[in-house]
Amino acid sequence: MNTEKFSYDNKIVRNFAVATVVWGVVGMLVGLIVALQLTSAKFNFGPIGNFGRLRPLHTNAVIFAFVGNGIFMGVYYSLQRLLKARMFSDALSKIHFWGWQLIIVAAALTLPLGITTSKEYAELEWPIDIMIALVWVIFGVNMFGTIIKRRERHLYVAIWFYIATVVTVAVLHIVNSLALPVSLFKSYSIFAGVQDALVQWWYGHNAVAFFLTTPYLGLMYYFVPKAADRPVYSYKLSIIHFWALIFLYIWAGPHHLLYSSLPDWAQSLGVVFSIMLIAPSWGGMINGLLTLRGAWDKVRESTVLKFMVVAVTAYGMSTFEGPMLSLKSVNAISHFTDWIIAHVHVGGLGWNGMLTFGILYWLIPRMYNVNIFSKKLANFHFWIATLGIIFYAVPLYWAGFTQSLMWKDFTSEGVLKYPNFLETVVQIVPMYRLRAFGGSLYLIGALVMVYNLWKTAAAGKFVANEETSAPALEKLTVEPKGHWHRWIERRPVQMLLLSLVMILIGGMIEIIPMLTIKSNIPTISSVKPYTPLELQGRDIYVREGCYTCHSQMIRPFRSETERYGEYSKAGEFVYDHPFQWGSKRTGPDLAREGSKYPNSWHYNHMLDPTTMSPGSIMPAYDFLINDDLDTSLTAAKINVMRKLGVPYDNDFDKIANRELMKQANLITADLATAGIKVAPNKEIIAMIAYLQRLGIDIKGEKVSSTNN
Amino acid sequence: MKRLKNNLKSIGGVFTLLLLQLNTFGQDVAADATKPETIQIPEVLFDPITYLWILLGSIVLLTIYTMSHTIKALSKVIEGRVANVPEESEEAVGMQAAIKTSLYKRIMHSLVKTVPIEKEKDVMLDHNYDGIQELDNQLPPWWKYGFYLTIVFAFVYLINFHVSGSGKLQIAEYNEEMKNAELATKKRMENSTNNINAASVTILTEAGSLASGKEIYVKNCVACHGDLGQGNVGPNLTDEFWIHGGGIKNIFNTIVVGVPSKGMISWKSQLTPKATQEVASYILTLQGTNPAGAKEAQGEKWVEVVDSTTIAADTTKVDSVSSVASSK
Repeated sequence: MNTEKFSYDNKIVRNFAVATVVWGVVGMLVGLIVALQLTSAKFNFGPIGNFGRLRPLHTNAVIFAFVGNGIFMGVYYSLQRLLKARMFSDALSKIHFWGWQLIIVAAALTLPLGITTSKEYAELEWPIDIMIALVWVIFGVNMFGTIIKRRERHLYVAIWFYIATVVTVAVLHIVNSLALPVSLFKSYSIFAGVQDALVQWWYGHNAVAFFLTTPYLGLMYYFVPKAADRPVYSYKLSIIHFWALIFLYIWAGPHHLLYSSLPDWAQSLGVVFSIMLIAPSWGGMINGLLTLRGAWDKVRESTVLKFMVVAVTAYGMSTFEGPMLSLKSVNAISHFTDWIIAHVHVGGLGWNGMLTFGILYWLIPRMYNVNIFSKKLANFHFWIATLGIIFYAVPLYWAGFTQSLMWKDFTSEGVLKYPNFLETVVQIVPMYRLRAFGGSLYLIGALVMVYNLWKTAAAGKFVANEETSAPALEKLTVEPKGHWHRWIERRPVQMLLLSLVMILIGGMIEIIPMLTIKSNIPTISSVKPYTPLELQGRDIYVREGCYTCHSQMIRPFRSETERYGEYSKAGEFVYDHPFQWGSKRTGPDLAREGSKYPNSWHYNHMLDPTTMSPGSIMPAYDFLINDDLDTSLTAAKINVMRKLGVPYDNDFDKIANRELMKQANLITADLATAGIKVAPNKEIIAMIAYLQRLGIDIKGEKVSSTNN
Repeated sequence: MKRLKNNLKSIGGVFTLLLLQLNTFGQDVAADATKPETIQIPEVLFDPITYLWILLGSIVLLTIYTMSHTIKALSKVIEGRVANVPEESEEAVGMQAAIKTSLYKRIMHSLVKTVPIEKEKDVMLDHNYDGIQELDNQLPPWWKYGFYLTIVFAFVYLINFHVSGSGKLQIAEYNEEMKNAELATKKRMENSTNNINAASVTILTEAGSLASGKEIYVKNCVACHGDLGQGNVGPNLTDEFWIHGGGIKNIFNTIVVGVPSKGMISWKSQLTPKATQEVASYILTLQGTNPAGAKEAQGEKWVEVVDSTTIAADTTKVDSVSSVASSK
């Protein structure tokens, strides 16, 4: 055998580790800020420090900056060793690293400025989207290059998960980001309303699946057996749960849209595929936990294993809870409430966070050839993080349950018991305080880790290139015998293609009929495109991230139609590029806000929400009153909308700004009758115009409810 | 002690398994229950809360079961030590326990099919990835059959809702909910003293009613009409000028139907007729209070005509003035 000498690139791993830690702390800090903002409006520092703009920053930071860098750290470390090969190209590794950090910086700058598409976890505007796609492809090429020049004949289960991740995230990101640009910082989604909602949640759910789950399962399959020094429990289980997981996951997106205007057949698919997901998800948990069989005594000793055990357990809990939340009867209670926030944080803080910490505590001492600086501090981190998760989740479960029951409560006389939405918010503010406390515990733990790892690195000597050797892979002359699955483990390209086919099936069966078959979205003739002023107002609504607290989707429940008016119909959203259904109600639904209150009410409410709603936790939007509306893009916006199929007249873009001023003057005049003096060219006028338009196209009309 | 630990582990396994199946089972029942239309099914069956309670209840029951077993097992160990039982009987206890565990073991083994650690070498595959080896354990049967069960659930669910049509989809569900609410309202109105309308409403004067009227006012009206009725976004309620007519009957009517074009919502779904009567009566106590910052007079001067039963018919007349933003 001819043994080849080569080295593993540890430097790229170290760089990603540093980025993981740094962005992790930043993301959690922003998380703590938005948690505080929910306890009181005084923590908002508008406009750039308002909840609506910071919440997307928090989600993007923890998902793509913290977990994203965590994925790359773990993949670059494990991939090289599992394949007995250095990364394909050091240059590509570097471009990947710096490209990704550049994207994060771009996100951190644009999101607080209100440059957003408003599609959750895909808020970044089109130039950054293109950058993401490019860097992701570079990562894929680097990974596949390494696989091609490997010295290990078969691909280990961790790598199956990496491959599925690379190909699926690319598909999800590209399809969901399809948009027509208006300017460098503004674009409109090519999908509208129900279609946009379906594509978004197909993406959103599978961002959880293929960004927060599959790559981390891959990491689990490498780092848990390594840290426990035990064999993986069952090879057969790995095979079945891998293929079942990626095939089933992609279908489950519609469970984010239960009881919405999404057609029933799509909702039902979302339900049943979510239920079937329990087994493949638990397959991963079982394989992880049972790998520790015979090593439980080590768990008592090793902090690394403790972190991993809690991570895998949290994974099992949230992947059981998820399917339960997908049952319509449970979803009717949980949706739009903090229950969901609690659920995602059990997954985020528990599964992703704890596994990342475990890996860091295992990896850093190894790469620096030294023992961990302080085992005590690591233990402290473990306990405070675990406690933090409990303090985070339990109050939010309580809050979600309480608020939902209050929304649904009728008195014996048949009227809503809590008709004032604000009452249900005030009730749970104490829970929000506890949650912020839990979050700060978790953050303190992370800071302790930073110190501990820093000291560890300072005491050790970094091995940038770890020398090693392995025999070269020889050409196969005869197919070796063995399990049938070994065949594809020798063939990375086929593995990639089969994964692609698996994940395309579900997505295509759900999305294509929604885009092509008209009966899925029954049209309503009275629904008309937005006026130029309303369109501008809508863009301000998007910019300010109003969707982070206000839904625009009245579900067909008596408690909602009594509170908000007629339930939402699919045909009402056909001109909504992008859709604004929202996913959480910290404030009331706005789908039928139009003409509910006078213009002056909205003016006063934006100036200071507490004057119209005493006790409100909504931040003030007084800057809308001072800022001039930018009308330079009105014509361009009309043109892009027309290209997307919104029926504006051919020359409408030329008179759009004139129409806009006409409507603005009417509103200004009306405000003047209420004693409010404001110029018609202010942003507030556009915002009022949009809010007053919401849901009125079918108000007062009986719309046939047979279709949907 | 080791045996105890094993026991606990097995109980944990059974517990999670039951939990899993119980839930899917509960859903099946809910779906099937809707099938025969003719049979009256108690409403609780459709209430999601019921299933949550069942779930929670079974968790509690299983926990109690687990705990009691643990305590029993523990007390046996402790008794065995403390009481210093003769060797013979200790052996007997041990044997009994052995029979018990073997039953457990048999059940557990058939559910889990794990190869014991001592025999691990027999199922060790020749895979080695950076030192990571893999065992060839069977798919745990409980997991496999759980998976099958969810697949069966999926088919039953889809057939129930989309093929046989026996399951109610969301709009049918909603229509039924509304129909039931309507029936309940009708029933309530028939045998209730709460049956007040704009024609029959009378002014209330006793302190209790006015106090609760004030409470309703503070909760719902101050944002637009001011804390003292001085008017803000909405008109002044303390003078004798009324846009939609003064007097208890008109005020009651305005609250019930609202003035949507001007931003006052209909309070019909939020305030009962009695509550409306109370708050309208309270509003009338504000007449002539002249609070600071009172808004200018709007509408026409209202002169109360004794025994008047007519309601000012202008509630629909005033629109188009301020519905600016809603046009086009």
